[in-house]
Amino acid sequence: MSNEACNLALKNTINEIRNVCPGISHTFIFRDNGEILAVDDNTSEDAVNNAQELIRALEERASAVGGIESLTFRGSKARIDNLKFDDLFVTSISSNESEEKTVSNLIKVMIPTTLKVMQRIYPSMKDKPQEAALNLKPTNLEPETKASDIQASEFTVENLTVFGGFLNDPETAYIDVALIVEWTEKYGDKPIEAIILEAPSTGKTIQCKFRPFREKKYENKGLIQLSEKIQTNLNIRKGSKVLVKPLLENPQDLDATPKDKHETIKLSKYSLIREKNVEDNTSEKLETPKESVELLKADLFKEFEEYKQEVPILQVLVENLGGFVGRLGNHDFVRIDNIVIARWKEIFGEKEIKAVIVKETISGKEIQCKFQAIKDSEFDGKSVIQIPEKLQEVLGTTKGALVLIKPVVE
Amino acid sequence: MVKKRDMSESLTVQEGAVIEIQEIQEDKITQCYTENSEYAELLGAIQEIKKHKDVVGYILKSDSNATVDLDDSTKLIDYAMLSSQTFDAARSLSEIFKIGDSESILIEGKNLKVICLDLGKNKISIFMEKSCDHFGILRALIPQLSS
Repeated sequence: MSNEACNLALKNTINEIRNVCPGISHTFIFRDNGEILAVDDNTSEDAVNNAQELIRALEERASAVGGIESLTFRGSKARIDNLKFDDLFVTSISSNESEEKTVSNLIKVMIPTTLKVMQRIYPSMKDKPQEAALNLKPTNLEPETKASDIQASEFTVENLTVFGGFLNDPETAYIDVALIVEWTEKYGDKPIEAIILEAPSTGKTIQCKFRPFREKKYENKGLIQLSEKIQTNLNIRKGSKVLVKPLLENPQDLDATPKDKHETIKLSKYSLIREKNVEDNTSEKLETPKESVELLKADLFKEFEEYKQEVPILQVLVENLGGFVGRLGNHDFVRIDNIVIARWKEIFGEKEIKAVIVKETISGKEIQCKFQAIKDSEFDGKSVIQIPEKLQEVLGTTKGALVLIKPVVE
Repeated sequence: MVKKRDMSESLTVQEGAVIEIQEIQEDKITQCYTENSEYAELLGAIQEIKKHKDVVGYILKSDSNATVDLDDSTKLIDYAMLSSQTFDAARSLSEIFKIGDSESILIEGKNLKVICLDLGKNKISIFMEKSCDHFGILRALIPQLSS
């Protein structure tokens, strides 16, 4: 689904690029393995197939000059620009009258940005374009959680008891489930891979895995259970205070504000259109980055947002499905938070929600299975999914881990 | 007609036969190119361009002649194949997308860049460092072409 959504967003983007710069007659995107990701509405599939074969063959031959970074064919009427973003080729055909720099800037800004946004929405997106494509300069478009914005919470250190310490992983910190739920609410479906522990008294910081407390008696008391090993590493002991914050996958540091006019120009397509004015120092006011982001989002991802709204994805916490059903009963069966099911029903109305897809956030493994509401009202609103142990094994997940869920609608 | 210079690294071919590899006599060159004065003029211009420190080599090819001058002669086949395939791709892409007659092709690689010019009977590929100003090279060639 994520690839499908990504292709849709890319197609939307290239159509928007054409709208912004009417001199562009054709645009398409393909991978270096020949997979065509997006073609604008104006270009035939045959033309794209032939062109991508030619360009890929040339790319192979160009190993003599280190492989292609960009390729421009100038004809008497138009030109073909081909930019490579890691494993993606973006090809555009534009008339000689269109401004080359504008076309190039639009593509260099919009495509990596779209990919980056998609990767943010679907962190486990398969075959994701690699870092080089996403680290291009003009990609700081969407303000999102930056590392410095993630707030730390203070907890008091509790030992893992001898018995508990034996059973528990010494490299894992055990924290309050309420904290995990709070992070899930705050950071949406961004996978939380680990936590960062900081001891203010010693200034030491470490990163480690985390799990919810195994025993309820520690809950809601502002405690964190740390093994002796972690305590030693932090140079702290029972009763000390530690700061805990989640380590999100790829938190973006947006502290870097545009430093020169060139970067300002690249903030949005709207700004790009005004490139000349900026260069001439005519002081037509550009949108603020935030406004630009909103405009860009509205334009580029309108279709995608609709798509995403149709199929909401949630990140939830794994709990064991105990009792007869979990141990002996149907293993292709999970229980989901009542509130989540109610929300799905609101969204889909009379459409039948046939099943649920559960996806492990790190490995990307997913299963489709039937579901029911969690019976225990204690879990209501806590974004929890109860999964039988057999299914947990299949997914490669365990109690306390986070998984993504989405409904399968008729 | 053609400036005399050290051609020890050059290879000149006429109708498939290697004329000289080590040193090419001026009179032979003159004889070769009398039938294609444009070729000779281009060769003169490119030889001047080749003196630029960032230009690592060139391939000049007409229907009956070819001159190759590369700093690293072991790359000759790779560069010649790349040059040939680039012109073929340009012709095909031009037909697909109706961009008109192919004028120039710029390939920016990770290590080098190549500018290819299709001048009808004559085709030029110039290999250069990425820092090299390829517009400057085009400007240097275009007056030559227009004369």
